[in-house]
Amino acid sequence: MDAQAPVLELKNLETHFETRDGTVRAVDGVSYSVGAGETLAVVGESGCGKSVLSLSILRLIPNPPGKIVGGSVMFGGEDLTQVSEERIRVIRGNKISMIFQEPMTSLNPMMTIGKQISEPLTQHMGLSKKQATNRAQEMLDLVQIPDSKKWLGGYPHEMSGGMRQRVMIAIALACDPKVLIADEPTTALDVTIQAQILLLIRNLQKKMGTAVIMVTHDLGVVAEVADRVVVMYAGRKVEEANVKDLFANPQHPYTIGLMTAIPRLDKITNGDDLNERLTEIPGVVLPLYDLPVGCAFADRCSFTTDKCRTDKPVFEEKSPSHWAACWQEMSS
Amino acid sequence: MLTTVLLRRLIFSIPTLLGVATLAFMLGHMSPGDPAIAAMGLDLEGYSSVEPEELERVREELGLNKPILVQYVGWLTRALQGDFGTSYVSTIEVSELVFEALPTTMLLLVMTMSVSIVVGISLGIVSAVFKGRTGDYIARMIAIIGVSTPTFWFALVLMLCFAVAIPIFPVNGSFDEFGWKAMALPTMAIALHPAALIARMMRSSMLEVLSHDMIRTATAKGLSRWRVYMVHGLRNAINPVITVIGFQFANLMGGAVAVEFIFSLPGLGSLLIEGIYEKDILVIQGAVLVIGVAFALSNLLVDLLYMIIDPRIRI
Ligand SMILES: Nc1ncnc2c1ncn2[C@@H]1O[C@H](COP(=O)(O)OP(=O)(O)OP(=O)(O)O)[C@@H](O)[C@H]1O
Ligand SMILES: [Mg+2]
Repeated sequence: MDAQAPVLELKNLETHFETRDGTVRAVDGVSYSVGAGETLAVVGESGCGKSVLSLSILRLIPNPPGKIVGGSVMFGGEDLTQVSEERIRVIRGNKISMIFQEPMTSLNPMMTIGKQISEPLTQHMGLSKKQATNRAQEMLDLVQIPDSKKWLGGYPHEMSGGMRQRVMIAIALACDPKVLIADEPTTALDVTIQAQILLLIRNLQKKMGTAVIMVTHDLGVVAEVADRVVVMYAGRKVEEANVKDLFANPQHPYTIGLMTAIPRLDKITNGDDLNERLTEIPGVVLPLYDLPVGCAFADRCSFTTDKCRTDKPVFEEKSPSHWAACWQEMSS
Repeated sequence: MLTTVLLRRLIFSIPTLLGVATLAFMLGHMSPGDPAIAAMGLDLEGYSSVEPEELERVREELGLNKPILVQYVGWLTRALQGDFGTSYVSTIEVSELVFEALPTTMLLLVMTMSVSIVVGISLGIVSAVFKGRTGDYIARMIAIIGVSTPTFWFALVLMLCFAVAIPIFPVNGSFDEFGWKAMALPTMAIALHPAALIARMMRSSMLEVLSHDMIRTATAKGLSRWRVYMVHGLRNAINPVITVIGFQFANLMGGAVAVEFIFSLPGLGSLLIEGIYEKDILVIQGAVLVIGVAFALSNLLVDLLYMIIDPRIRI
């Protein structure tokens, strides 16, 4: 699947926020690419820059305070960080779409569901109102919302979170995009609904050949949907591998930490939430405006040496198609 | 569903309207001076020269000797049938006076409302969209000046500038005489304050909405800025602004009374002030009642508008 030319390619993308505390390096030189029909998972703890990275692709970062300060986002031969406002609008919601974490607040409460799905259709595909409404109903059927005709005139507040996220998916896929960026699409949902939504995205992806970037902090989700995985820590990519290689043979101590932090069944039955954030690695993510010269994970790592504190680890190929940024060699 | 709500709201507004009527009646009666003297066409000077029997006769004739409650009930039942009595002073039916004055006031209020809504909302949007930039500073400056300027003073300034110094508009006169020109300055004078308040509310409400997730969703759909702001932003930001607009109606009536008088526009405000000068109780009561009812109805209208705009409060 990953042999073909990438649909979307990020190179050394850097997004900073100017704050009172200093420059927050939310995304600090991240590269990845994703091919048609492929699912790339981006994982990492809360605050490591996953959302900022995803929003940077479509230039949705609030500016000020945020700004893409370096790198490129190559799509269809164009660098999206450089194209005009008009051009990026043609891409947004049309060639590259996005689903957000909060289905409860991501839809417009004052606009009918039908209208919200129709909007990108009239905008990008030049459909008439009637054609767009017909297609909106098809999309509702596609995301398996029963009574689609009735729901065209419904409002978001009449729907559950899962249904709203389905509507978000319908909006995102309405124009048959090449790339779908899903920023923690299931985090706010019940576990059973989570699985349904992931399955839905997967099935639609197969049907349409969409490249999916699945952002999550949940390795369970990664194992379920991803072909390839990018692990992020403090605004940087620390590991990248096929999903099988990653789980079989993690090369970065942080990834290993994440894996041991996966909630186990005995804990779940104890009443712990499967959804809980991965904070079980000792220590906290450093503030992104005050990162050390060496490895940002050094303080929380059990393999730390002096070199880790003075030199930034190089992102290198540890084994074929398996990359990591760590001075240590992990044996499996 | 909307009609049931409408009906219910109409029924609920009956007590309000009764209160308004009571207040109107009391205001007329509590104002100082003797209506009988006024009715005889005399001022306070002439008071001493009147025979007490004569005064008593006029009082009896006007029903002023009856117990206040009897007077009230009689006035109210007649008012409900559209009969506000006959002016003591001009001996013209009050309903006729009100009917003649109403179009001017209505026109003035509709114009003021339109101008202040259009200007206020535009200023507020400009302010929010260009937050922290020149457009925002200019819009906010205008709003601050607007909020802190008294209506009657602004009316006089406008009159001095654009009717006296540069005589583009008439100093005073009615719509019948000068057409729209007669309405321009009074409209501007009354609109300034509500426009400024609307602009402020629009700005803060719009800024709040623009930070919501749904705005990001709308942007991510590839919609133009204009569409994101006007269709998604404005529609969600407008409710608190409508409330402010509704409340402004009360202030508008107050402003209209003074400004009509300053520009000698023959509206309800002028009628009311003349009634007060003349101690013409029935005119005062009639004018206050009509203004009050209009106010209550406008509040009702705002509530209904709310329900039409926001699908979440259609219960
Ligand atoms: N508008 C902003 N102003 C300043 N800093 C910001 C802003 N938005 C994000 N950041 C910073 O960027 C960093 C990355 O945030 P981001 O939202 O991308 O994290 P995340 O990995 O998506 O976390 P989560 O799992 O909680 O969604 C954070 O440290 C955050 O403080
Ligand atoms: Mg996030």
